[in-house]
This record gives sequence, C-alpha cells and structure tokens, in this order.
Amino acid sequence: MALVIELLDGRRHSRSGFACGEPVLDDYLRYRAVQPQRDGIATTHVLVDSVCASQVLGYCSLATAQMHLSELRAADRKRLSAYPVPALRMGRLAIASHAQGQGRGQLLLGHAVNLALSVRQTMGVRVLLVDAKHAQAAAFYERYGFRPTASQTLTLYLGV
Amino acid sequence: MTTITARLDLCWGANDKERIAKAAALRGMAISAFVRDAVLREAETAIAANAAVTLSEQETRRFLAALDALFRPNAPLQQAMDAAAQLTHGPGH
Repeated sequence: MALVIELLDGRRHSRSGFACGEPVLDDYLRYRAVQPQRDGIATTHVLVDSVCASQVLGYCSLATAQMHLSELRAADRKRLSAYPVPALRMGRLAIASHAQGQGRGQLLLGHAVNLALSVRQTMGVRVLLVDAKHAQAAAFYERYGFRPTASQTLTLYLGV
Repeated sequence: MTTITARLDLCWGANDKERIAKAAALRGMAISAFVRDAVLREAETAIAANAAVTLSEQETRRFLAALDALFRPNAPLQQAMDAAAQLTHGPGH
C-alpha cells in the first residue's frame, strides 16, 4: 500500500460516496470540484491509496489569491516585489470519515505548503491562505504556525 | 457594450417578479437589464471576496517584519511537509 497524491480526475475517482462529516465539503467534491478545475480556476488534489486508487481518502482545493495589507507605508510598499501580495489559497481540506485520525489532514496540509514553496520559487507566491470551516479547524491550522488574518476570522495565513 | 451570447432562465415567485419590475421601472430600465446588472455586480463581489484577503494592521506589521526572513516552519509543520514529500505523486504532480 502507498498513499498517492494526484489531481482529481472525474473519470477515475469515485466521488459520490465521499463523506467527511461536513456536508458542504462533501457536496463540493461530489458535485462541484470538476468544473473549476476544468475552467482553470481551482484545482482539487486528492489523496488515495494505491490499492484502491478510485476511492478518495481526502482532498484539498487550491487556487490563486491576493492578500492586501493594512496601512501600508510607501517604504514598505517598495519592499514588496508585487502588491497585492500573491497568494495560494486552500479553500477546502477534507478527510473521509473512515480515514480520519490517521494524520491524513496533516499530509494534505504538508502537500499544500510544499506546493506553495515550489510555486514561490517559480512565480513568487509569498503566502498560503487557508479557510477554516469552524474554530476547531482554525485551531488545527494554528498548531502548524498559521495565524488569523484578522480578529474573529476563520481565514488564516502562513508566510512562505 | 456587452454582447449577449448566452441565456439564463430563472424562476421567480409572482411577488418577486412584481417587485423586480417595479424596481426596474423606478430606474427606467428594462427588467432583463436591471436583473443582469444586479446579478453581475453580486457575482463580482462574491468573486472578489473569494480571491482577496486583507491582513489586519497588527498582522501586517508582523508580516512585513518577517518579509525578508527565511521560511522557518515550526516542528509540526516541518514534520507534515516531510511526510507529504514521501507521498507518491500521481497524474498532475
């Protein structure tokens, strides 16, 4: 058995039975993930087991984004090679209920950070943004060094 | 001027349609143009909200202070990155 990370393929990956406990995240993979990928707006990266490669154990969706800064001084603006700050955004991260508690979420998060670092080298991304669905999910990201973008928000960031 | 190349059929309650027609008349617009403008405006807002994030002033100062520093993941993140690097990469990666 080997865990494999790959881009979602609507023909190969079985999506109809995916259930993570968050209906919004289930519905996205089941009904909406293919179209944005086909349109080049967002990609969905799925984690599968090589033994049963059609069954999705978990997924994350990634897209480009921008981050604005508050009260930006002219001197600081000059330090930024691009502004708004170019970012990657992980809008969703979900693990199937039967695969939870085994570090799969950590794998997808690590994959997203590795990808952000790779993109930084080639295109200049400086931030990975994540959207947590609730406070418990936000606490998960904070353990890995992400910080809330503002008070009382579920969008967090990590400079890369 | 927008070239009309696609249609979008919508179902409305009778009361909704009356209210929209009244609002469009108040603006001196055709119903279709009024609805199209309003929906496109809302779509732009939703897309922009999804793509752009603003850091608070406090976090902005923190971000700028770390701007020139090398990326240093904390221990749990480094572990996650190392584990992810061991994954087999399938199609698309």
